[in-house]
Amino acid sequence: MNTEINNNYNESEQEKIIEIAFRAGGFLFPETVEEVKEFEKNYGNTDVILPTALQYPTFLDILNLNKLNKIVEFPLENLAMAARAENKNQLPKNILDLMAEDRKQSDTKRKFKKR
Amino acid sequence: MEEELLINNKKTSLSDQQIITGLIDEKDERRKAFYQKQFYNRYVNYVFKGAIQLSRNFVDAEELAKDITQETFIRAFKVINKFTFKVGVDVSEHSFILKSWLGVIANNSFKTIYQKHINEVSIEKEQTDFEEVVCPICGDFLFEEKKNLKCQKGHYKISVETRLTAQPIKESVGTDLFDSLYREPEIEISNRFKNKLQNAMNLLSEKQKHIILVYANEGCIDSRLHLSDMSLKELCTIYETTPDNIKHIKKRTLDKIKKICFTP
Repeated sequence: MNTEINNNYNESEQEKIIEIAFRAGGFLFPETVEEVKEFEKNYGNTDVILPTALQYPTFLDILNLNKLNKIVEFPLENLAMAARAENKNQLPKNILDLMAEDRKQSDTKRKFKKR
Repeated sequence: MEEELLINNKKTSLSDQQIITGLIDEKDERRKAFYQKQFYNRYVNYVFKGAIQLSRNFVDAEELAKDITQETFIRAFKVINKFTFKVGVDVSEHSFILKSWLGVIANNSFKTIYQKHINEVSIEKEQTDFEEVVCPICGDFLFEEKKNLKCQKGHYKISVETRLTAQPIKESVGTDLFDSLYREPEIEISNRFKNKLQNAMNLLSEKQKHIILVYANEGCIDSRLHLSDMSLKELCTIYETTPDNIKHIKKRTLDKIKKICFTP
């Protein structure tokens, strides 16, 4: 049931309504089943075109490849594959970020093992 | 063979329950990757749509939305082993439950991603292993308080001592995940009001939008409630200002929004 929002609310009630509206209006992700249903009612039929980087989750391949090979350093040949997959001459920013994160984690792991 | 047929056939007959079971129980990493892709393909459109909605108020919206989407799935797969459908929940609800769970993770991802998005400030978090320092329920980073690592929303707590040993002891405190996913809406918001809110947001600066959304994400729009110390500290670091100034900005922003939304 849609209650028409009027101007007779006190400060606290107004703030509560705004907070609810942030989720209902898509300013934040819906976090409950009812909010999701409301979101789908409003935006469910809106088509989105996934950008190339999301059409195939290469970032998952990279994460899983690290686990499979148990390689701490990021393998160069996989970077090349990632760059070709993105059809660009430069590595995508998300790959560079993953490399930096992997390097940081491997350094931390080495320090931790030494203890 | 069966797996090959499912990979080649875009339309999979796997249920949400089967995919979740595969993600949790499968020990072989290659087969697990198959389930990850199934889950991803099923929910990426929804998450990206939500991310685009969230990001539309910020500069470089598509890049921000892409990063939020990727971060959401990365975090989701890290904590998926803690996920389970409550017994007795109808199968038709599974999709909505997963979307709401992903929404919790995505809102937390937004916080981290937006910080990287706007500048090079990195909030240092000590971690040796990703799985040990995120909340298994909402995927948010844990913060340290009195020798415990805690989730801001109170889902999860683990002592710093036990985190460093081989067998961490986990204490679940506060809200049960499924209870929180089934909160009844107190009021339904009309499209007219949502449009007014959008108009109000259009008049705000990026900084004001970011701050007010951080407050909204933690359920702290109410003036009587306070933002968590960790979020407040992060905002102060990003904007190189004091907690009092952040609170002041929030109040002025909220007053602007109220003026537009509640004026006839």
